Parts: sequence; structure tokens; C-alpha cells
Amino acid sequence: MSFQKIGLAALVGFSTLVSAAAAQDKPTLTIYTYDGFAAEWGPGPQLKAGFEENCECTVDFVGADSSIGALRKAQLEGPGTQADIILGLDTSVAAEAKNTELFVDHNVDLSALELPVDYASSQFVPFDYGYFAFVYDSSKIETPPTSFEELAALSEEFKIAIQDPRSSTPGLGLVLWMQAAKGDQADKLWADIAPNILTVTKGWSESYSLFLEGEADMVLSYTSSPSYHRIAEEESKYLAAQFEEGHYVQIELAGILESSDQKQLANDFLTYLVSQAGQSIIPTTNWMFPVVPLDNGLPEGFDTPLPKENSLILDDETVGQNTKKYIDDFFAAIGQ
Amino acid sequence: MTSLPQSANKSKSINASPHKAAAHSPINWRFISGLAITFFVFATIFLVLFVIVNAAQNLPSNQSALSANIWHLLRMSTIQAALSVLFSLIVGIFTAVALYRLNFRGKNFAIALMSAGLVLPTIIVAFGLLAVWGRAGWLRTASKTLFDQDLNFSIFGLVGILMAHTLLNGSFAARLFYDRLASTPTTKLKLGRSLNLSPFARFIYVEWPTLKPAIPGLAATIFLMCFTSFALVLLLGGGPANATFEVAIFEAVKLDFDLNRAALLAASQLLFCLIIIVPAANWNTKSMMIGKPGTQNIWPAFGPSKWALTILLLVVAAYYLTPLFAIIQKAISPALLPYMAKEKFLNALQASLTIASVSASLTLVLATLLAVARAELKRAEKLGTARFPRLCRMILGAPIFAYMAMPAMVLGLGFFLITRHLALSTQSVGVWVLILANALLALPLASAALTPSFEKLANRYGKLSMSLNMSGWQRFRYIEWPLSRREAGYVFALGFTFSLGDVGVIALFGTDEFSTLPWLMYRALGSYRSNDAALVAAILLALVILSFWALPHLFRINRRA
Repeated sequence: MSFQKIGLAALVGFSTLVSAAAAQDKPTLTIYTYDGFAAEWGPGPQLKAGFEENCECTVDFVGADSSIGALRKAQLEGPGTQADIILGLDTSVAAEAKNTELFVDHNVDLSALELPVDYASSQFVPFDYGYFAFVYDSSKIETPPTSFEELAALSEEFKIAIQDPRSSTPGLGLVLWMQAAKGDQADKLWADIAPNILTVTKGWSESYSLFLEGEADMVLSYTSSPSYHRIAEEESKYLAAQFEEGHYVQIELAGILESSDQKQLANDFLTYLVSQAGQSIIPTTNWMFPVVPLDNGLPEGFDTPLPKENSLILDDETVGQNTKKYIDDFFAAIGQ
Repeated sequence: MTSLPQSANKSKSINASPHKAAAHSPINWRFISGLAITFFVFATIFLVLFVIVNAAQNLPSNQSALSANIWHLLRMSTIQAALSVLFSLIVGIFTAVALYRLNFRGKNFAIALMSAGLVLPTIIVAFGLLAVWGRAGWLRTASKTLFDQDLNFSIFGLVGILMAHTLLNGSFAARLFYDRLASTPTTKLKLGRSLNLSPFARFIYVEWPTLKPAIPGLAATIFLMCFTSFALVLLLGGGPANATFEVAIFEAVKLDFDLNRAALLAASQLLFCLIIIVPAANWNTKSMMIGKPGTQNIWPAFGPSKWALTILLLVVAAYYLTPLFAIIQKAISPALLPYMAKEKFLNALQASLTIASVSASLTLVLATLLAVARAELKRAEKLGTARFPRLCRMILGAPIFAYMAMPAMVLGLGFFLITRHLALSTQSVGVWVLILANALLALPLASAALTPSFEKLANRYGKLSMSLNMSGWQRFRYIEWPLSRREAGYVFALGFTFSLGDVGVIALFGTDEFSTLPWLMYRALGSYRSNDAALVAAILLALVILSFWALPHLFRINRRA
């Protein structure tokens, strides 16, 4: 059938095109990251352009379905992996990532960094951060809950959409948030919140869509989500509910792989990533806070970071050892 | 196309010697080609599981995490899938009968529409359904404004899953049932009409015997679709209580990197599905009917039954079409055309269409070879020369479903590891893996559509073809292919659209340079860009409908060539 031939011809043409683009003389720095970071509207393309100006190299962002997916991909590929850097892991999987023994110490100067919580690691470079928060529509909800207790006390009519901690970063963040904020009371509070949970989705995007469609009153997301709607859509009705016990911090990390043959270039890239030039790209592409105070300040309409005393985090080791238990307890408490 | 004298020549030489004997025995090339596919599918699955277990050797494993939870998963998934099958079949049968007995304009288009939902990414359909039935959906909004009455029901939970599955699979079932009804011979219809059968008697004596043989295979297909459908379950499920194996596997692969457990989970899902599926794969077509499928019925319903059927069809149509309308409606905005002109979009469109054409061709070839083998078996039974027909049928039936019972993530992982073992670049092989995976994924639906036709023909023409001493190729060339073109066209469209909508296996292979339409949509969804996602969703839907309407025509044009 000629139809098939056309298809095959087009396909062969397509794959040669892809491989031709990859063949170049300059060294290539390959960065595995999550899809949204590498996407055309993510920070990837601008960072690539900015770094390539001075490095005499080619930066190649490879997007996986998630940051943990990027890590697993490199892990499966073993020492033969093309990746030099894994970018986008966060503090909740840092311990797990460290245990893989895939990463090597970096030599990036981090003295200019200002983080809301203390974070130190010889292997990972923090490059942005955000706070988990419930986002609501202020045109529909006048008085959002201001604590987990208030959320638990709300009537069943009030529905929240959250994510599965086993498959989603914010989902896991919520479980850790409750642990950091409430500790022993966590189970009891989860049981009280259970009737308000509309659904537990696999990923962030499904639950956020449910919220935007009006199916849920609140969705677990980031404090910077409203900034996106304000700046990119000029829509100011979405707000993040401020919880008095504080908000859990998510710090995004990048690490250099032991197997990389471009370690110096990789260090140079990470240095660029946390420089003024690199950091100024982050807020309106990744919708997270930069790790250094920007010379020109945050873009207009962007939220300001929370004060230090409202920032919660559990250290990597506690998270690494207890995550499984926290997740099991969470599911047991919400009656699943 | 070969010209007639040539093919006549060829057949003469084929008839000359040893093949004559081969035609009498079930062991011939037609049968062997089917066995080869069986072998190929199982070898692939085995290889996938093997490389994963092999890769897991150096990794820690925690089998105790395979807790009692798995039995819970198994029970929930089974209940959900069984109920989905029940509702889908009921809806499918009644819709097909109504559609068949009523004559109306645009019937062709209605039939083309019917498979559209099934092959869309489930998340699109789920959001379409929510736009109608959800809290902020049309129904509740209308009821609030018109009657000042708040309908207090929630679509989340088992109800939502069943609603969605019935919508998707019910329409697919209706499409297949309709095809069977449409090939009822005119003589039978005329006889029924002259006997003045009541609408109910007509169903019992004319229609039910036609529909019945298709039920086991279809039920098995739908069961598997629902058992393994996870995106929908996770979105509308209301929580992990209704979760499936897929989440457990996700946890094993991504979170714990416990590949042993992932392989074990995949194997148990496969095993469980096979236990349920294998008896069904044994289904046997008893129907003898061969007719020319026409869209206008010579014995249309009249009187009260006409009204009843019309109302039934309208209700089903409203239920089925409103979510689709909602998807289109969300995309109608000034942003649509500029978005379609974007390079990213055009590239993704090109990639999607190319992959879909190739994998649809592959689906058609695989489905045809399997159907030919089944026909051969049927013929041997008819001629009384079959050995172990039940066992053979089972062996030929199992691979159709086996692939579907494999979780996409495990397949992706397995293919990824195989690629690594062969020292191929994962980036350049990704496309081929996607094509193969899509083709195999569409195979259950494709076989459900194609095999009955081939078996029917073998049943009908088995003895005739033997008395004419026709070779296997001749039977295919002059009987099976010409009389199954309609189904073949539908199978191609199924494979094509299935591939258009799939995202499953490629995640590990992905790069930014390569994207398909569903991917573009998921990316947009993951970056606050729900408007872009809505545009892609609507375009996908339009493409799917267009394919179901246009592609089958390709197979009819050459009829007289």
C-alpha cells in the first residue's frame, strides 16, 4: 500500500533530521530535567541561549515526564548515560537521589544564595524554591481556611483536589507539610479532612484543571500559582490561602553526575544558573522564587517570599527515612 | 493491484502440486502466520519482563511491599471492569438495534462518530464529561437557573468511572453490533417482514442470534480496557480506593526504583487478565449470515416501536455527544487559528500523523494475519480436519489481549532496556517503539472488528472453496479481502486514531525535539496552559472523527480495480 510507503519515507527522513542536528564539533552538555523545564515556555531555552553565548558549547535539555523520571532514566542508562546534569530534583527526593551514588560533589560558590530555610548539600545546587499552598478562587470563596484545623472543620460541601504522594511532587509535599506542621496530630487531622477531598489525582495538572473548571474549591499547588494568573493572564481572582502554621518549602536542585565527562562545563553551567543572569529567567518561566535577591527585584505582580518563620521544611534524612511511613499513614487516615 | 490474467496464472502454478494437500490440513502457511504472531507477541512480553528482572539484579527489592493491598486492587478493578462491561454491552446492544431499525439522514456520520470517544486520550473525555455532569457543568447550571434546583450528585467515585467507561465502550460496542446487524441477509429481513414479527420477536429471532456470537470477544476486550484504564480512574475515582495496578507499578518504578516488584506486578496483572480472557478468547462464531451491509434498512421500524427507538437513540446521542460538544466548545476562541500555525504544533501534527499511519498499517497486517489463521481453523473444523480446535483457537486468541494487559509503563521500561542492550540510541529508536506499541495496543479492538468477518466467511465458503480447490491465497484474494474491506477500513481507522491519541510508552524515550499531539496537550496542562490544552484536545477530537469518516473510504475506492 502506497500509504505505508509515504509514512515510512517521512519517518526515515524525520529520524535522519534529528540525528543530523545532534552532530556538532563543540562539546555538548546534556541536562536531564522534567518536561516543563525544557518546554518552549519553560526556563530551558532561555538558559540554553544565555549560557551558550560564552561557553563554546551546546546545551541539550532532555525532558522526561518528571524530575524523578529523569533520575531513573539516568540510573537505567548507567555509566554510559549521556546526561551530565540532573536538574529539577527537589528536597523531598534528595536523600533518595543521594543514595544512588550517581552524583559527584560540585564546586559552585553558593555564598550569595538566600534561601528561606537552611539547606546545605555538597552534591546539590539549589536553583529555585517555592511554597506549597492551597489556591482558591476569591470571587467564589470569601473566607478561605487559614489553618489545617479550619480546613478540617469545614462542611463536606467544601471540596479540595490533591495529588497522590506516590506519583506527584506537590502530593508528597502536602504529606510532608502536614508532618512538619502538625507532627503527631497529622493522622487525626487527615481523618477530619478526608470528607473534603474531592479526588486524589495522579499529577498536579489533573487536579489543577479540576480546580480551574470549578469542580473543586481549592487545589494544592504553590503560593506562586496566583502570580502566573496575574502576570500571564491578567487574572487576579486566584489567591493562595495563607496558613498560620506556615508553608512547606520546596527547593529545586541540580546535581552533576559522576559519569559525566564534562564536569567542568557542568560546574560552569550551575554557576551560571545561580548567577543574576540565570536567576532572572526563573520567576516568569518556572513560576518559582529565585535563590538570589535579584538586582531589579521580582517582576511586577509576583508574590513576595514568605517570612522565614513561616517556612517549614524537614531535613533530607528525616524525609528519606520516613517518607514511606508518612505516605502509608496518610492513606490509612483518609480511609483508603 | 495485480491484473487478472497474472493472478490467474500465479494461482495455477500454486495449485499445481503440494499445496493442494496443505489446504486440507490446518497446518499451512495461513495458520502458521497466525502462530508466528502469537509467538512474536509472547516473545516480546517475555523479553520485556526478562530484561526488567535482569536489570533489577543489582537493585534492592522489597517484596513485602506487595502487601494485602494488591488483593484490594484486584477486587476493586475487577468489580469496576465487570460492571463497565455489563453496562457497555446493554447500551451497545440497544443503541445498535435502534440505529439499525431506524432510517435517517446522516446515519453514516453518526456511525463514524461512534468510535471517536474510545480512542481519545481519556483525560479529554473525562473533562468533557465533567463539563456536562460536573459541579460546574451544564446540567447543574441549567437546573439551577431554570428550576432553581441544585442537583446534588457527584460524578466522582465509582459512578463517574462507570459513566465514563459506559460512554466510551458502549459506543464502541454499538458500532460493532451495528456492523453485525447490518450484514443480515436481505432474504432474512424479507422473511421476517412477511411473517409480521413483532418488534420484540424480531429481536429474539432475527437480531439476537446475530449479536450473540460477538459478545464474548467484545466483553473480553472491554473488560481489559476497563481493568487497565488508569488515567480515568485516577481522575474520576475520588481517591486511591479505586486505584489500579498502574499506580502500584508507578510507585515501584519511580518512587522505590524496585524493578523486581514492577515486573512481578506486571506479571500478576497479565496472569490475572489471561485467566479471565482466555476462555473468552475461545469464542466461536456460529452465525452463517453474509449480507451486503447497507445503511438504509429495508425493514424499518414503524408505529410505537419507531418512537420508542427514536427516543432511545436521542437519549444515547445526547449522553454521548454533549461531552464531545463541550470539548469543541472550549476550544472555539480567536486563539485557535494562530495556535494551529505554530511550528511546534505543525511538527507535532506531522509526527502524530506519520506515526499513526505506519502503526495503523501494522495493526491491519497483524489483525489480518490473525484473522486469516482463525478462518483457517474455522474452515478445518467445517471440513472436519481440525485437530484440537479449542486449544488452537485459544492460542490464537490470547496474544490479541496479552499485550493490552501489560502496563504501559512496564512496556516502556522494557523497550527502553532492550534498546540499551542492543546499544541503540534511545532517541532514534523511540519512534519505532511507539509505532510497535501503538499497533499492538490497537490489536484487541482491531481483532474484535475483523476476526468475526473472516470466520463467518470461512464458515460460509469453506466447503465451496474446497470443491473449487482454491488455494489459501486465492481464498484471501477473491473471498476474504473483498468481503472484509469494510471491516478492514474500520480496523485501519481504529489503529490510526488509537495511535493518534496514545501517550503511554514513550515517556522514557522522550526528548524536546520530538512531540506528538497528546504530548503537546499534556505539556500544556502541566504548565498552567489549559487553554492551549483545550485547543489541542478539540483538534485531536476533530482529527479522530475525520479519520473514522474518511479512512474507511480509502478501502472502498479500489473495489473494482
